[in-house]
Amino acid sequence: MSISDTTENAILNLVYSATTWANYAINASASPETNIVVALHTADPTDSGTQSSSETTYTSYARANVARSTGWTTSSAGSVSPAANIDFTAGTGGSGTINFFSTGKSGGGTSPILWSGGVSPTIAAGNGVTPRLTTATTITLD
Amino acid sequence: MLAHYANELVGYLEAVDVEGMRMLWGNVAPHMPLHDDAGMVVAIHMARTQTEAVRFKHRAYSHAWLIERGYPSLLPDEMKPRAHQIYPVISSGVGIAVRSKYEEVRFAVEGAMRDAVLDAEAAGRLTDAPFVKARMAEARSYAVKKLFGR
Repeated sequence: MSISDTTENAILNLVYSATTWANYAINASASPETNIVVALHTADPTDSGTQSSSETTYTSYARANVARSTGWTTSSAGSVSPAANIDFTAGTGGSGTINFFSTGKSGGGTSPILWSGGVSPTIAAGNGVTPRLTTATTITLD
Repeated sequence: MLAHYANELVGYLEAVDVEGMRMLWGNVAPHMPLHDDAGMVVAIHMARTQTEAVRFKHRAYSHAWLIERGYPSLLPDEMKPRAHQIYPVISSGVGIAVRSKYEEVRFAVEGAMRDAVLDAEAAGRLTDAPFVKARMAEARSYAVKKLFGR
């Protein structure tokens, strides 16, 4: 049993781009999330974790907001990508290797994760380093 | 043999002198193939990051130059924080998030896509997003076909 490509695309478009899944689901009408929040992690936040699990702590780090309205490509073959590079604030100190990223809900703190996965190649964070997730970043549903 | 040309080598590296390096390399290793100009520039920057005799500011510049173009830098890890203070860098990575009902599928597909990204980095094309995405899609498709035959 598997999910059809059409359904995979519909789910991803609904979640990442607030696109109605015809005859099944529409974006929340009350207080809809306007952004997908992207976080960076030094270790796998795991399926049971939150966006604060193993989150990077380099100095000046902040999560990045990517708009659901325009920030993501239309899902194709069960995958979506950011429409533009996701640049995080440049480090002004600290260190740590960024191995994972997650997408989730606004609100900060222990916000729930939508999708998470690895970062390749890993990014050595620290003073003078601006971590960037390129537009090749891919979120899939198989 | 290379030690005999040490002063010239450092001079050519610090000046990013493509013709000088090509001439020197032709003398030191005439049997080895030579890069084109663009390849020589990349090779010189990689050599600058690794060569202790090259002044630090030049090594730091080459480190930033390589990182921003998606090439691996050979600057030792302990020197990178100081280099980033002089030349801030944008350090790129590709996020790969795979969701499947089956953990085995997730690991196999994510692993194949990660390998595709690392291959692109080795080819100096990490920041060429359309190229990287195409290689990742191929790897994903191949991994799924191996797992499910579809």
